[in-house]
Amino acid sequence: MSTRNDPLTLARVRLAELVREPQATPARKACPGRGRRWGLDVLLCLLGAWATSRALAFLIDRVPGATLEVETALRVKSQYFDLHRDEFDLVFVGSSRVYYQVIPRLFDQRMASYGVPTTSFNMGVPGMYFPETRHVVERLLARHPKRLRWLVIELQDLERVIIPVDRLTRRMIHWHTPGLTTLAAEVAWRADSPWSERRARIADHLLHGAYRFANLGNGLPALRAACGGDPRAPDASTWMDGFVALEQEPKNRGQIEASRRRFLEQTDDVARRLASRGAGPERPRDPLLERELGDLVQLVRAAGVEPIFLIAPPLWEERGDLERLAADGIVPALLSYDDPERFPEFYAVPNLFDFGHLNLRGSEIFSARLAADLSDLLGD
Amino acid sequence: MLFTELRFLPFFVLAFAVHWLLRRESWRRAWLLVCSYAFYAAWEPRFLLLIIASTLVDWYVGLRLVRPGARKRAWLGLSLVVNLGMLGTFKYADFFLDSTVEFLRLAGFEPHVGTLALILPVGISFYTFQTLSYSIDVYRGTLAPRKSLLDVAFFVAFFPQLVAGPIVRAAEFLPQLDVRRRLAQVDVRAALLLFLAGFVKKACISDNLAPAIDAFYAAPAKYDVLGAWAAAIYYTIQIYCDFSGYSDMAIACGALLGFRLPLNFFFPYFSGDVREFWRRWHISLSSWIRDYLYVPLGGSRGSRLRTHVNLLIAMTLCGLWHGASWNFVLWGALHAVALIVHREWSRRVSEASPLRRVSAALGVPLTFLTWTVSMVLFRARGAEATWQALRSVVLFDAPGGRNFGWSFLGVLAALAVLHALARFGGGRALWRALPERGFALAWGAAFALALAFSSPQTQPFLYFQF
Repeated sequence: MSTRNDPLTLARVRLAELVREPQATPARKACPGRGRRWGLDVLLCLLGAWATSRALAFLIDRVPGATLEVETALRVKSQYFDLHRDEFDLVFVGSSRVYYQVIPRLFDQRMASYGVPTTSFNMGVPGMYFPETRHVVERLLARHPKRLRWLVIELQDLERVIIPVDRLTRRMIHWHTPGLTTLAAEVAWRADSPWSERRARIADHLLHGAYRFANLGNGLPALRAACGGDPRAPDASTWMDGFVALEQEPKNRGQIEASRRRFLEQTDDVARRLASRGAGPERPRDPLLERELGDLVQLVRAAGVEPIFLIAPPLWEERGDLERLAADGIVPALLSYDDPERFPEFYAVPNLFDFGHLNLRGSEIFSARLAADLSDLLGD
Repeated sequence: MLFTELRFLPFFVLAFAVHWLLRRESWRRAWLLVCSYAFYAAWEPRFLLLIIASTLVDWYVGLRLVRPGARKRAWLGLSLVVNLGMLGTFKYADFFLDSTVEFLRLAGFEPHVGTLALILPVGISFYTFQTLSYSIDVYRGTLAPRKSLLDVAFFVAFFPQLVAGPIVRAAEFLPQLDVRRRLAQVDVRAALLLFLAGFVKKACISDNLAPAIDAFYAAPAKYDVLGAWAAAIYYTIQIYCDFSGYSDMAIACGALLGFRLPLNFFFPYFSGDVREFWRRWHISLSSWIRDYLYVPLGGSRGSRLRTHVNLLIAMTLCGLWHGASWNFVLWGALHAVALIVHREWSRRVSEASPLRRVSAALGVPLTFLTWTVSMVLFRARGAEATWQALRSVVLFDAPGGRNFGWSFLGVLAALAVLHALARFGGGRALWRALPERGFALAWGAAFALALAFSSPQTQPFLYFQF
C-alpha cells in the first residue's frame, strides 16, 4: 500500500514535477528576455563542455599509452619507444608491410657490416595508412628522441584511410585531429564514388573528429594507466625491435591463416598478377598528396631528422605515380621495391606469405636488401 | 538512433526548438509525430507501417467501442487479434515453430517445417502494450476515445518512449494533450540532470561493462567461479544501468517537450524482498501486467492455489514478453516461484517472529542474490552456455581458469557507493544550489567529463531486442 511518505510515491511526485501544472507556472509575460537568457545558458554550457574537454585532453595526453588502442601493437610499441627513445637512431614507420617485413636486428647487423652502424626500431602497425602514419610521426618526434637521425616512412597514397574493422576504435579516433580530419574529409570529397558514399565517408570522419575532440573513451584507460598501468598490456620486451613475422603473429590467427590458405590455393594467380601489371591507366599526379608529403618532410626535418620514403613489396600494381614524387623532388629520398623485374625475389611464391606480405624468409631477404640500399643512399 | 549517439543531439535540439516555437498545440503534436516517425525510420523505415497499422486499428476500434449498441467484445477482440497477431508473428512465430518441431522430433516424427526468419521490429513489445492499454481502457469505460487520429498516432509513436518504454498508458498520456503546454512549466534543470544521470548509467557504466560480460557468455567454460560470479554481478549492473539509464533519458526528453512519462525504476537493488523488487523494477511493465493480466485473471481474490496459478501465468508471460526463448519462460517462472515463496513466508511467519528480523536484515542481499542468479538465465544464449554458466554460478563448478581479477571488487565498491549516493540524494542539493549560470557551466563540464568516460563503440540498448 503506498502512502504519501512512501519513497516510491515521493519519487513519482518528484518525477511529475518535471513538468509543473499550468496554474503553478507564471504567465509568459512575467519572463522578459527569456530568449536571451536561454542563449546565454546554452553558450555557458558549451563553454563548460569545451573547457573541460580541453583540460581533459591536456591531462590525458600526459599519461603515456593512455590514448592508444589497447588491442593493437601501436600502444605497446609506443610505450616501448617512450622508454627507449634515446637508444634509436633509425625508425621505420608504416603499415603491415613494414611491421611484418622489416627485421631491425638483421638490418642493424648488415648496416654495421657496411660501416654505417645503426640501432633501429620497427614502428610499423597493421592497417596504418597515411593520416595515421603522419600522426604517429608527429607523436614520435614530440618525444624528442635524442639520437634519432633517420625516419624511414612507408610511402602510401591517400585513398585508403580506415579499414571497416577499425571504424570507431579508439586508435582511429585518436588520429582524427582537426587537421587530419580535414584531410580525410578532403580525400573522401574528391573520391571517384557516388555522392551518398562520399557523404557517408565525410560524416564518418567528422564523427571520429568529434569523438576525438570530446576525448570519447579516453577517460577510463587514462585513469587505469595513471593508477599503475593496464595489466592487459603485454610485456614490452617481447617486442624488442618491433618486428613480428606473420608466421608468429599471435593476434588474428584465424584471419591470417585464412589469408595464407587462400594464397596457397591461388599461387597460380601470382603469374597472372605479374603479367597484368601496368595494364591499367596511368595515375595522374595527386596535388593533395604532394602537399601533404611536403608538409611531412618539413615536419621531420624541423626536428633535425632526415626522412627517407619506402615503397615496400609486394605491390601488384604499377605505381609510377609514387616514384615520380622522388623524381620531382617532393620526397627527398625513396627506396622502391615495386618492380618485380628488378626484385623478383619479393614476388616469388617461396618468399611470400600471402598476396599482401612476405614470409619470414622474404622478410630476411628484404631487410638485408634494405640495409644494402640504405647504406648506399647514406653513403652518397 | 540511440540517445547516446552523437546524431541524436542535433535531432533533439531541432525537435525541441521547433516544437516550442510553434504556437498551436495541434501543430506541435504534428511536428513531434513527424519527428517520432523519423526517429523510428532511422532504424528501419519499413516497420513504420506496423506502427501506423496498429494506430489505425486502435483509433477505429476506440471510436466503434463507444457507439450505442456496439459489439464491444468483438471490437476489442479485433484490437487484440491485430496487435497480438503482429507481435506474435514477428516475435514468437519462429520460437513456437522451432519448439513444435523439436517436440514432434522427440515424439518420433520428422516434420519438415521452415522458419519465417523475420526481423524483430524494434520496440514492438512496447508499443503493442501501449496501444492495447488504449483499447482496453476504452472498452472498460475508464477512458474516452479520441476522435483525433493525430492524438492517437502521437500517443503511440511519441519518440522518447517509442522503442524501449517506459510503457505509457493512454489514460496517463492522452489527458496531457488537452492542456496547452508552456516551456515555463518544464523544470529544465531537473530534466537535464535526469538526462545526464541516464547518460552516465548507459554510456559510462553499462557500455564499459559490456565487453567483459559478452566475453564470459560467449564461452563460460573458459572462466573460473570468480570470473563467473563477476560476470553475473556485472550483468545485473549492466542491465540496470542500461535500461534505467534509457528510461531516465526518455523521461527527461519527454519532460523537455512538456510531457510527463511514468517512473520506470526506483532503486530496485535496495529492495528488501522480491515483491518489493517488482514494484521497483520496470514499473511500467509490471504494473501493466498486474492491471491488464493478473487482476483480470482473478489476482489474489480467489483461493491460495488460484492466486499462485495467477502469479505463475502472469510472471511466465512477463518472461515471455522479454524474448522468444525458453530461457525467458524459465526466468519468468522462477520469479513467480520466488513471489509465491515470499507470499507464503509472509503469511506463515508472524510479524513478531525473530525470523522476521533476520529476513529484514538479510532481505536486500538475498533479493539481489536471487536476481543475480536468475539473470544468468536471462542473459545466456543456448542450452549449453546456459547450463555451463549456471553450473559455474550456482554449483561453483567451473572448468576454466579465466577471471577478471580482484579489481572487479574495486569496480563493484565504486558503483555501490555511487548508487547509494544517488539513492540518498547525494549531490542533488549541490546541483540545486547552483545559480542559473553556474548550472549551465557545470552541466556542460559534467557532460564533457561523462563523454570522456563513455565507450566509443555504443552498444545498442539491451531492451531494444525485446
